[in-house]
Amino acid sequence: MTGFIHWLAWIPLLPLCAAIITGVMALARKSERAAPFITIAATLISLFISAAVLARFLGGTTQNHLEVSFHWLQAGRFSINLGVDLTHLAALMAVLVGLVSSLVQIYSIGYMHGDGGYGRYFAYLALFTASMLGLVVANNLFQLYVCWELVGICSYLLIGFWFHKKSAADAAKKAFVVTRFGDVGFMLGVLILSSFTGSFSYNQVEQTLSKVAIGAIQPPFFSPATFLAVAALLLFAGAVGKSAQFPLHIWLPDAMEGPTPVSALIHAATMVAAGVYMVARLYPIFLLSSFALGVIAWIGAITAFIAATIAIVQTDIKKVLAYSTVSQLGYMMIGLGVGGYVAGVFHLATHAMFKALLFLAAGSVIHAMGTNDLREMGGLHRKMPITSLTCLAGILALAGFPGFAGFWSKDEVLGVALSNGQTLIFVIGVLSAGITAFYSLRLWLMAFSGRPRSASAEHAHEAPAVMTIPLIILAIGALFGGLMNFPHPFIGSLLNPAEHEQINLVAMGLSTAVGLTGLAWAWLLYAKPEMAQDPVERMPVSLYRTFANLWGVDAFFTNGVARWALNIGRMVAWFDRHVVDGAVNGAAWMCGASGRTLRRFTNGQAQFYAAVMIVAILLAVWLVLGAMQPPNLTAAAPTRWAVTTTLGGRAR
Amino acid sequence: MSFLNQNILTWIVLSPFIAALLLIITPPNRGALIRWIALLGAGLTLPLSILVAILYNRQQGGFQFQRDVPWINSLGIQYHVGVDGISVVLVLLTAIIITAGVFASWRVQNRTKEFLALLLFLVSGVFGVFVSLDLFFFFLFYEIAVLPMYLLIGIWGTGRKEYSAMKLTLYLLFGSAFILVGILSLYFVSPQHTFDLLTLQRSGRFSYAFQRIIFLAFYIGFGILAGIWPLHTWSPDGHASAPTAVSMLHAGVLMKLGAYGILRVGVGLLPGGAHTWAFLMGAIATINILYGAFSAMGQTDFKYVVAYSSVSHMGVVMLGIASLNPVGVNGAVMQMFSHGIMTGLFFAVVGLVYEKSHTRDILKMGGFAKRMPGVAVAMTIGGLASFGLPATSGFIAEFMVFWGMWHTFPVLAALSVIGIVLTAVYVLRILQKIFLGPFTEQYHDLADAQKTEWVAITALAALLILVGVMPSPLVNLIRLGLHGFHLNI
Repeated sequence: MTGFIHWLAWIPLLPLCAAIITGVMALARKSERAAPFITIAATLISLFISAAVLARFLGGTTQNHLEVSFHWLQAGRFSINLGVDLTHLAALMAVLVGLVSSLVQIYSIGYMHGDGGYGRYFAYLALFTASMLGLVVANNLFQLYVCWELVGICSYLLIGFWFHKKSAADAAKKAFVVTRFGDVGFMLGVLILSSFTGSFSYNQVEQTLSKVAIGAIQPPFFSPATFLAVAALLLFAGAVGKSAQFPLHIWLPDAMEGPTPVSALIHAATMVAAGVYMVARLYPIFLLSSFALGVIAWIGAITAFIAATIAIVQTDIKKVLAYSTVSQLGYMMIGLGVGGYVAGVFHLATHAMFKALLFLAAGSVIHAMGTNDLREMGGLHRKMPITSLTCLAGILALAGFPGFAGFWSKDEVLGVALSNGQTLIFVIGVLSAGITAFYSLRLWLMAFSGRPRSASAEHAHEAPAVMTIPLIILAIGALFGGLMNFPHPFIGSLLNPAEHEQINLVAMGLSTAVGLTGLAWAWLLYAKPEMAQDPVERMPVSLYRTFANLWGVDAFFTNGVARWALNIGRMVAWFDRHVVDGAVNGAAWMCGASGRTLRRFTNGQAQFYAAVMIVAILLAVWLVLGAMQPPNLTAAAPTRWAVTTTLGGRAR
Repeated sequence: MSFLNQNILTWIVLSPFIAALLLIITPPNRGALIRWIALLGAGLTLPLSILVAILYNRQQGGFQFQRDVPWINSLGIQYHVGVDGISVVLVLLTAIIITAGVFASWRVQNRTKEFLALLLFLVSGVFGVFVSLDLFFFFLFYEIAVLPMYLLIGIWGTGRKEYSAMKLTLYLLFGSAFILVGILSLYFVSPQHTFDLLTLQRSGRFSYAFQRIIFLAFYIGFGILAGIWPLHTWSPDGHASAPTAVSMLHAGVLMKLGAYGILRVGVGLLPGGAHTWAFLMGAIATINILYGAFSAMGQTDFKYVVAYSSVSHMGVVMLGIASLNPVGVNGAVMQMFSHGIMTGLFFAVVGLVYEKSHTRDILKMGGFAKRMPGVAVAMTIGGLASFGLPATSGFIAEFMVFWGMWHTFPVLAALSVIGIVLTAVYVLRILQKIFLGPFTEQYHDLADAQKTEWVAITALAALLILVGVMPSPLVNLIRLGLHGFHLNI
């Protein structure tokens, strides 16, 4: 086992090297065609290392983690080690990231063929992979935050990849700024925890916090319970931004402006799951505050439901998938929030596969059609059978069709919610599962069944093998992903042998029934050769409008918060120019004005000077004599004195 | 070796000064010669300061490369120079910026000779301040650094240049009055009647009441140059009107003189005063951060956005100093370095964009990345450092400042952290408005940076990343300089 130690650091470093090499190549515009081979090779080697470690863990070694770290920076008590700490969870996640990343990169060779920014694209993807792996293997809060921001900027760069499109540039900015709102909380969380515990290391922080929980250490300002809740929720704020949870979920649908393989990798499988992963990785911290866990579960439930309803009325194939991603991330948060650590991570893993699959299949369709609009598709099953069938596998996994990957993991999440007494959250989850089934099948039927509804759908044909092979591999994952935890609980025993998971038959039965109802409903409405109008538009107008307007959350942020912020900016700028600077200019003007006034005294006329002199002498004498006055004289006295003295009258 | 040790700092100060003198006697029509003399005078400081940074003895710490020559004994004035870890970093920054600045002004056509001579004259004042250990010379160099700005902006500036030059100079002189009062009172109150900084620090023994008042004088006086709110309004106008190299130097280095003065003279000699006013300084720094960021958001002139971003970033520097925490102050000096490089890069880019598009109105630009991809990449890197993206120097500096402040005034730290969103908003806004989106066809003759300009922007952008990835050499150096200060532990 020790032999692995020397290889661990290469898990994130290899893709990083690839990113630097291909980045320089792209800047110099030299041999860009070689770029994918460099980045894919690096990712595959990195994947191999993490897979080898995971295999060892699954093989039942006694070691529960592999760690290597080095000293990076020291300034007094501010001491930072960077490192790689492969726990069981981290190894699982690293494999997942490496797998999806390499498949997406292979697929991109076909998808991005002939694009002007070919080399740049692969450099960004490699940089993203490196940052994401750095985040996954981090052993301390500092590195977590660093990589957290780095995946964010990669996401920015990739959403805005076609930066000459205004919508892409806007979406990139929105994605970054909205997630930064969460990052403020996250950074404060890191500050609170690191300054309180005196360390950034996960282990140190967790140990100190557990002492707080039992009352052995008193935190500053807050009571122990409040402190633990505040710290956990601040960290969770970061997850709300990154994992697109309500109310910061608004950036993810816009992020679909990026190339579709990017959506598959970053905005479906890996980066958006970083928030979920972070909560899972720091689960010992979150477990200390039941209040924080409750908030997480509820935020997850709200997100899952709202996003599912919005997905129903979308007509852009990527937007449907985007809202579906938001909704599924909500499920993962529910899982973690109700205490189902394994369930949440299991759903993360299956979702990564089937959602990456769905996005890549959508990419294949978009590549063939040149449009995202579901209303212009139809009948694609006959034109592109591999895409259609693999997509169906993904759809059924998403819908939770019995036997498919999503079925097992979603039911496990819901089962834990029910077993742990969170009935209301369970009900919301089941309801959302039905909606999910409906919109998933709707998507597939609109795209692939019936008759072609446009000329481009008429002339579409199957993608090249470099794109379909990743689809097939991921479809296998969507079909059999459930095996990760059923019937043998691989993930369960790997992550938390203590967590008892039996299949909760009530939960499974209910959600399956509701899911099948959703599927059947979609089948009834959409399995027709012709479709004049989208049947969802026939639902009650108020409901439709609520869904189509995204429950008003997006408008609240873009028309509300963003506009206020800009207006505050304008107000401050005005205030600065006119009030603060006005005071400065006012002071300058006063100096100038007094200068101008006094200047009149220097007019060059001797008579005037003489007059001034006399007045001045009078004043001086008056003042001097006035000062010599005995205090008991009346107020008019000085005048009299001055007049008599100057006019040469009687001396005193 | 001892010859080198004793004189290297003097050479750094004199090198640009001598080059400036040489320029004065060079015939104005010898353009190439003029530029090469300037480059030599400025560029020589770079290897010298790198040498200082390398030769600085880490085991020994304290002030090194000292040279102490009595000048006017009866008044206790001596030419005393020396550097500690903090000044080494700032001398290095100055050398980098002036070299890049000369590269960036390679194509100044109007009165090249006078322009470069004044620039070099100014920068030798800046070096002088950073190495002076005698308050008389400190003040002398300080004024040398401030005054040429009047001519530089007034003659070579753009826009309302006369107004801006006048405002900047008067405002800074107003600050100098406070500093002069402060220095003189230190002189007269100290038992030795000396201007020597080290003697004053060792055995000044200033009463608490005295410290409280005089610290405030230094805070206001130096604070004006550091751009503290609400005394900052000279800076946007000044920076916007100044020619490229002058903006680079002014925002990049001169504003640091103010912060350095507060740290070296204020906090160093009057720790009691600093502790008294720490909360006020922190609160004003927080206002700087948020107010500067909001103001930057509300601007449409590219240069004003950058100028207000300096106001915001200098807030981070002041926040770190106000924390009076070793990590916070270390972060503050890191931020001085980082912001110096970053804003130098920004103004270099603004200059390039303006020169080629003849507009600074960001609403009229768009899609420039298509024609100037190199400049766009450099600007993006600068922007990332500006909003503190990890792996750029801005991040580690801000993080250390926030971390340090968290130990002193957590509420102010928490408020300041909001700045990271606001900064992202205005930085991404200008990136998007200028470089992204559809290309504005009217700028079809836009071209990427040229030879010498490449040197400047590539070097600066690379430094931002280099320091971000490997901050420990600088952080360790700065840490050695913090021993003399009375900071919270």
